[in-house]
Amino acid sequence: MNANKTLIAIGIAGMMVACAAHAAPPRKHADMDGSRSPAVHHIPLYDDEGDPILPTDNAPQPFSLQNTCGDCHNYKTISGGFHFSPEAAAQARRYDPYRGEPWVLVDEATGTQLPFVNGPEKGLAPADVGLTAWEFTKRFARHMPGGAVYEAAPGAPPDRNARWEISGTLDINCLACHNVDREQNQSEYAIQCARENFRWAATAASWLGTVDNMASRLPDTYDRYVSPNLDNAWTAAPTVAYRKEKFDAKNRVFFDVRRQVPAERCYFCHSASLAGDPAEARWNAQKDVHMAAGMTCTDCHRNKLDHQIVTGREKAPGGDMYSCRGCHYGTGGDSAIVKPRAPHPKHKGFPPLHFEKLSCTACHSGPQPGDETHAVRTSRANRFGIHGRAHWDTDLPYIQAPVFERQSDGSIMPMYAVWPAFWGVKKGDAVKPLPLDRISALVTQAITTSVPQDAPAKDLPAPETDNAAQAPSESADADATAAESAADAAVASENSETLAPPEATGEPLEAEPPVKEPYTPLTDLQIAAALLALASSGEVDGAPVYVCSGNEYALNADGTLTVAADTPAAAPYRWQLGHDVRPASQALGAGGCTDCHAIRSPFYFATVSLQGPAVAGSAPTGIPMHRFLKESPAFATLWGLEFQVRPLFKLVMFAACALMASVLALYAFKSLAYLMKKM
Amino acid sequence: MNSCGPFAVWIRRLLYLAVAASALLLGASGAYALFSDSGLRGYLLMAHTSLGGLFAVTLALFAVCYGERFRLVPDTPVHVGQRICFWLFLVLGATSALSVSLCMLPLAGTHGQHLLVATHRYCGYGIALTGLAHLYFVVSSKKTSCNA
Repeated sequence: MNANKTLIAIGIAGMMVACAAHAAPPRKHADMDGSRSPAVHHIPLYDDEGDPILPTDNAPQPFSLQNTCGDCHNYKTISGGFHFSPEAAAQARRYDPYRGEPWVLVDEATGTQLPFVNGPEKGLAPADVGLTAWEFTKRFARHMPGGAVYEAAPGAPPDRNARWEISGTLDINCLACHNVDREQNQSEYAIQCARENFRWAATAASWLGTVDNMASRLPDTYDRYVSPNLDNAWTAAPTVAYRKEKFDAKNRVFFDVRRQVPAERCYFCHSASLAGDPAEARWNAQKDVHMAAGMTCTDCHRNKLDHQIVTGREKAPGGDMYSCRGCHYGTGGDSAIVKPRAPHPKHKGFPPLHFEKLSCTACHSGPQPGDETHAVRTSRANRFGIHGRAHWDTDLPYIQAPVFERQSDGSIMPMYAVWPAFWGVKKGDAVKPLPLDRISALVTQAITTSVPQDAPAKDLPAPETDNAAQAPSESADADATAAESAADAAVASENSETLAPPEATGEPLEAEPPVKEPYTPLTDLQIAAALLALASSGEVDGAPVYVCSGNEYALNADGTLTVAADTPAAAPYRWQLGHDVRPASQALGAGGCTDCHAIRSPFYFATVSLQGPAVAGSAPTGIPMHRFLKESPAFATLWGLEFQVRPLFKLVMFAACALMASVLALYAFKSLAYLMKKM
Repeated sequence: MNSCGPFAVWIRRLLYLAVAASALLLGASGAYALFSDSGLRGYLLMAHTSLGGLFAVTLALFAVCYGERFRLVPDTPVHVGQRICFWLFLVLGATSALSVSLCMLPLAGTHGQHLLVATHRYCGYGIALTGLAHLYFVVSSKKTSCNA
């Protein structure tokens, strides 16, 4: 009995310790006392159990930022920030009109580019695209600073494959943003996340220690408190070897962290560049006018400890001060609020209607509109900034910009647009995406084994429906062995860098890295073959469809493809384009009214490219911009015509005004003369 | 006035009608913009702009043709109220046309543009009131002539 009581007491005490360890309040104070001098961070490191890290330990644990930074800063308050909590981010986006950049599920082998949002917002959720919290984190941790994203959202499907106990959780990585040390390596962070080394990723990225081995290779039964199996080095648990020279005599390290995050840190997740030759793009790249003036991202995108960052939207908190208007015009006409050196816009000759109907970004942000929208690649969507033997960056998804769109409040804003491409099932009018892990192998096989293009689709041989083998793209996620044998295929997948280091695989170190081939779009025939395979597989409960480039492809009874345009499932996901901001001399309108108000001007008539992972023979390749502006082409043409005769119109108006002024003057003089005569 | 031929009379009447019709349509489109959420945009804006040109030209010609008749001297046959309305209409019309024309030139900045648009709007209100006053004087003079 006594033994039982003792066990219960130990259990309760253990639970209390565990609770205390999770998001414990800070033990030291880090309140601002008014000093503008930054705090120097010579601090001890703590592991996830709150024990100090000693680099001389036999098997030191990775440091936990929750416990290390949380020693002074309130982790719980910080964890409600937009970057860490989907709910908080969604809360920030409640200010209409506002849509954030989506995550895009990409699988080049199956022609999939599926945008979705991780939060209670309008749009597909991770669960809708078949991603559990575990899978979401595995795929996208590469460009996340950690936080509550790993927690299963309500309604998310259960995940028996989750291995949080082995990988550890992905705590907020404060260093990802605040560490200004040039050794802070987010590429290493992404690679560690791909190896399921979540608990170790921050340590490896900080370059304070070297992390070896992969949690992804550990068996599901692995227990960190049980001695490792020394006979099997291949499945060894991740280890850390700290750089001892970084520790002082009191086992403290120096973190070169700053409250004001440098732009280079933001760029890891928030870069966007024009597609095409990257070298050429970099050579020709323009800087945001604010950056060129010496500002940095956090000058406008500020936050308090709660990390609810000012988004720049006027209606959102802080938007009255740190939005375009807030800085350049002041708040409510209060010139005292105008930021120093923020030039007051002249906008000479612009009727004020423009400032009511257009966002500032419409004229000042993004690439200059041309005859066709530009293909743009972004860090998060196209996996930028991760370096190694594998090519991480992908051609997909194809993102278009600028797309000028009229918002629900009537204002026009420039947007990014991505056309979803996915394999789905149609029931009634609704199309639901099929989980990639279920259909990937089947579709990939059908696509790769489809016959030459000149054969009719109905003559296709029925593809194999045995999908027991994992697709290379998916196997790369879960199984390092498969990834090693399918290194090339893994390039196209998420987390493809689950490659063993060369010395482990026995590959010669001097081996040439694989050459990245440009993406080859799917053809009609391949789409038909894959749809046929899906229909005959028994995997699909309903009619299989392929959604791509604004179209919905389905199979007719005779095996030919039928295409439906403008279906809701095929509608593009759009989000607002804010940067790069162009100066007045490069803004729309700097060349006069006809920058926009001209017959066939790009503003109204540019072609919004429908570029997607497939090139179907008869499908349209673009749609005109005026459809997004909700303007008729006749109106836009007429408006353009009117501006062709606008110089003459102005002349006539001024002539009429002059004539009226002359008549007024003449009769005023006449009346004056009459009065003088009377006097 | 009486020495004018029938052609000139018809021209004057036509001008009067053109000014009245364009002012009426401009007022209607302006009022719609004022009371609707969408404001002045699209085809309505296009129509308003085009009619504005017509209004300015016809008003200038109207002033040339009718100036003598509405002189602000006591020995003219027109009622003094009508004469005041005429000159007020002309002043407001000219200011309205000038303010919106200046908007089209790269002269005024944002604040200036707002000032010009406000001027245009208030002149519009003035034109509407003057037009109503003119209508009142026309109707009352008709009644007087009928009673006589």
